[in-house]
Amino acid sequence: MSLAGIWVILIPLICGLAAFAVGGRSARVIGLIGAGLTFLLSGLLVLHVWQSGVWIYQLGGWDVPLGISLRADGLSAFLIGMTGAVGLGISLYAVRYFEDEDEALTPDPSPDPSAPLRTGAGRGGTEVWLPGTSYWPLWMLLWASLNVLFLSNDIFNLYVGLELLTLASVALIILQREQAAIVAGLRYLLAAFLGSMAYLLGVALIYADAGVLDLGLLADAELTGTATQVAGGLMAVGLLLKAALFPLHFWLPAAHSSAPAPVSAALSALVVKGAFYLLIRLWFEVFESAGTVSVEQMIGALGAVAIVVGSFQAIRQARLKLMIAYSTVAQVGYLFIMIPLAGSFGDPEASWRFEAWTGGLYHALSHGFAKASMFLAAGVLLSALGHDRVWHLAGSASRFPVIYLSFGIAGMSLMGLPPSAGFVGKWLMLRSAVESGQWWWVVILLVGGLLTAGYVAIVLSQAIQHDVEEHTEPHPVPKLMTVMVFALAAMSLLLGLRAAEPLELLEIGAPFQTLMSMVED
Amino acid sequence: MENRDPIPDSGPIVRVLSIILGLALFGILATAVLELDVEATGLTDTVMERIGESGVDHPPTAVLLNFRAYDTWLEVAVLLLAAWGALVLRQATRLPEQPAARSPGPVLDWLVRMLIPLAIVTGVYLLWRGTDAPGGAFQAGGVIGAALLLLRLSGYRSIGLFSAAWLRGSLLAGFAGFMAIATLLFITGWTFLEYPPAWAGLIIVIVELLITWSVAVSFVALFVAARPDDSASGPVGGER
Repeated sequence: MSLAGIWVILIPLICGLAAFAVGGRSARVIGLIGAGLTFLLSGLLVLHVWQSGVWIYQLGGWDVPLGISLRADGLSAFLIGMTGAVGLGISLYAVRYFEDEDEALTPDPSPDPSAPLRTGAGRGGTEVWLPGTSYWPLWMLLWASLNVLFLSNDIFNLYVGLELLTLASVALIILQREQAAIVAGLRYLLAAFLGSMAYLLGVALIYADAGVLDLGLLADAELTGTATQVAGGLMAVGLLLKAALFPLHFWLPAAHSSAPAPVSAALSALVVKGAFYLLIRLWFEVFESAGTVSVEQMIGALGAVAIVVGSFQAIRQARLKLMIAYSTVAQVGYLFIMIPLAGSFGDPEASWRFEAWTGGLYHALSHGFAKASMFLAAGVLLSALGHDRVWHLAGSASRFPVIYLSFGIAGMSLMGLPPSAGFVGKWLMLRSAVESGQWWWVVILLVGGLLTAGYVAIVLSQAIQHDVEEHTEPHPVPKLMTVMVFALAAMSLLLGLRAAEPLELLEIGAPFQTLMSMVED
Repeated sequence: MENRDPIPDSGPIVRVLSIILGLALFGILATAVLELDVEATGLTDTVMERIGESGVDHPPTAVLLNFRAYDTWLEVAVLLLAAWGALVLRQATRLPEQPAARSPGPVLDWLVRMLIPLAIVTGVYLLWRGTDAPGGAFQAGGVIGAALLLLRLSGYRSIGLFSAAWLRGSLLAGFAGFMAIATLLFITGWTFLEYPPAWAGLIIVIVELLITWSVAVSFVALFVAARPDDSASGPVGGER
């Protein structure tokens, strides 16, 4: 079981490559096996960290600083667990989603003499390009790169992980065969590359200054020089761009809303969290001494603006997928309220720092499940009705009761209503804000909840209206897709009812005075 | 939709702001770099101390393929993803042949016939020298990729001949081969990405050989797939 950390990277890569090599319709079967196994291995890794504490592994048998080490503490395990569960839900949904897509594209079985590819050119010469066939290997590689990111303990290796994540995301966005998706994908690629380059520049400066790349060694090195400060600034800006904090969110709404539904779900629920994870890992563990109160308050302020602007934009959107994408902009804002709360404001030993940190991460967890469910719900409506215009959904609740029920539950978690997981996260952050005396964050956390209620209510009130629009008969949607939408929404609720264990998991190896360690003192 | 608009031409204000921003960044970076210790050697000493255990004599090769093999392995995946993303953009399972195979003409024909064998020899030499001198898989792959490209550009059939399965196999070879060796050793009880000392040299050569081929094909695939005019079948490039 102690090697689950290796297998959780290897299995999705092996299955992704196998799906790529085999091609055709078998890719789906291999992808599904990969998703199931990766989910199980993620669970094993969580269990291992839970039972035996922080896991460290020297790759190739070379010690740091010569080699690269992998490390899984509570935070890594928490996010790998989330990725495993959300990833499995998305995979099961995608089986049926892309089955539909591929069927629409497959030509008649009768041989077509005008086929653009010559048939005699060897095996596989007549293969037709299908989005589903490309989806599975790319999705497996995306999943693997998230696990690479969460486990790596080396700042250069983390850069490689970020690159993998970006390229897999872009390739997945352009699976949607539309001009808008390709333009959005290209913009995303350029923005993300700019972020990667800024990060890489920071890595180079740090290596020149400190002579090591290992996170643990860097944390002990007490870096204070100008080079390190500049490096920290560059890395922070690069990662903020990738995590889409206002005003660096400009690429997100188009990219996340124009992708195929299972991809939108993965991008909003998981990929954004990858950059966020790396940022807080560096912020609280490597550059711990560099953060000043004013910088932290400024980042928090950007988060606050993101909450307000993102929510207002979401309310204004006419298309459901764009509304959900703007909601992600707002929800990312919440994550960054953690920075001033858990930062250097006030007593460094105070318990509110750990509360804010866990609160932000719990919010990330709840957003992962809720937002995946919402995007998948939008995908169901889109493929059933042929559109996702919010003002033309009137009366569709009677046709899709489970979809709207799930949308409501997920919305509840985003608003932070009890007993959802979103409530746990928000409550911890609120408590931290009150205890530390930073009352201004209390205001923004509450206002954000109200604004979220606004756009969730727009969708639901449209859906339950009586005057049913004369739709054409909706395209039938496979049951499994609806089931997965509901399962993910239900998870965002259940994690609110049972929060003790995940919160305790976060204490393992946490960079703060935890509640447990304070009791021991 | 706003994202359908072409990217607008930046006005003078944007340009001036960009210049100021660029200069400010340059100033900050210069300050940081000037303060760095020029004598600092980073991990060079550590690498030189342990190079004897790596199976090769050239420090960069030892770092890339042994000490930090994990990075290199994943970088090969980055390249694979890039080439593959280009295929997705083209919505194709294989690359199109040059539309009209023009006759290359006597001079070009002679030159190509001279250069292709030379490029192959140079590529293999670079690969082989990588164990004890500058060189290695990426450089060798670049040279061999250039040879493939030269063939294509001068009207010979080259990468368009690859069937879908061949193209996929070539793109995958480096990453999959590296992974297969590492996984096999891992299952038999070695640390992940650790090589048995006696076999380290051989494993590194095999891995580099596979990466060379994948790098070469990826480069050509990126070049060919990025040119929409080569084929009418690509719906992306064929935007009316």
